Amino acid sequence: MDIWVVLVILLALGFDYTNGFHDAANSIATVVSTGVLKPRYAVMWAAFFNFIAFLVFGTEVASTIAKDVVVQEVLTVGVIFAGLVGAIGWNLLTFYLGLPTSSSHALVGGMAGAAVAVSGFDVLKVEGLRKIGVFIVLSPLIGLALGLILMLVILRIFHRVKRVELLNRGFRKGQLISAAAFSLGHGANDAQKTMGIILALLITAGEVPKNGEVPLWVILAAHTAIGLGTLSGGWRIVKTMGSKITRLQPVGGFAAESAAAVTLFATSAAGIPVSTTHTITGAIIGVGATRRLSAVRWGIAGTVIWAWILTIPGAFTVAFVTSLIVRGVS
Amino acid sequence: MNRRVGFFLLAALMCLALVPVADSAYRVVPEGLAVTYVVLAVLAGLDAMGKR
Repeated sequence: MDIWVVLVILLALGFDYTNGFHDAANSIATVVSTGVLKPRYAVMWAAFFNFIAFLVFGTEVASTIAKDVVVQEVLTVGVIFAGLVGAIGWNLLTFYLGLPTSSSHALVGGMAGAAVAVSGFDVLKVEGLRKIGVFIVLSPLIGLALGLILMLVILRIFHRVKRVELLNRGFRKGQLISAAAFSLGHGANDAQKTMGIILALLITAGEVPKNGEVPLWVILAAHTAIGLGTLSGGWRIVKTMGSKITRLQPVGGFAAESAAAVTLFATSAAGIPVSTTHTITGAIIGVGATRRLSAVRWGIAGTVIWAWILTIPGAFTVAFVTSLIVRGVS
Repeated sequence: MNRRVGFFLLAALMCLALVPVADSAYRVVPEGLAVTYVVLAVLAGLDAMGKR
């Protein structure tokens, strides 16, 4: 295998690591903020379920990223490198600012920007981008509706329970399961995006046939990288997700994580790359809205929405410029 | 209008706006979600009326 291909694979795994570092904090934010697990144990719990997700889900999302964002003929090692630099650069910037933006959309924006810099807008695959674009908006709305409905059902079932602390004690244990489910969904959807990039690279390098499957070593490497990223944590974002959007009790944390997990399971099975950040944010807002809409701190939610809107253009621009530089140098 | 009702109706409108753009295989998702938000808006409206 060419040394440049190996280096870009390592960079892709580096992106996966930053994805875990940046996004996986979402998996544990509610568990930590409700005091169910200490941060150290929470990240270990989430990382374990991130890793074993490959045993449960297929590689449909990887296939979408590899084949449905830009036409394969335009992909070179340089273009994929520039796309990754765009995504990683944007991730690090938003991490520094403490904004829970989407690594997934940074990746899509980065790949699109790098490819457009080389061959113009014609290389973009409209169908694939439309599918991803529609679910950019839908994923938080699905999470919100499910979070709200689940919370209402729970409140309805347990409305006779007078001792709220007793109820919360039960849901503290339930949150361990819901956090595990969310981490499983996160590992499935997000690790597959890196697999998709590596698959595209291996197809470009002729290591895998054009319609080939993701090799097992790629699956294992991607899940290991995201698990390690999760272990490293991302506390600025945990703070935003866990308490700044709305204050959560264990019962609310359970509802939000379960709702987000169901959304991630369904989209992963359908091969749709969605943002774990968008999904859990929507679910947390949905749970907060069962109390009253004013329980949601809309200022913070608004900041998050602006960051979403800027993610694809931001990563697109960084990757576009990087691609031009790579082209000039090579 | 009750704030919650307005919020759910806005969410339903966003979902409806996505129906023509969505891939035919997944069109049922924004459609179903729009119906869900309309139902939530109606329930929130009834809840608000009951409290008056």
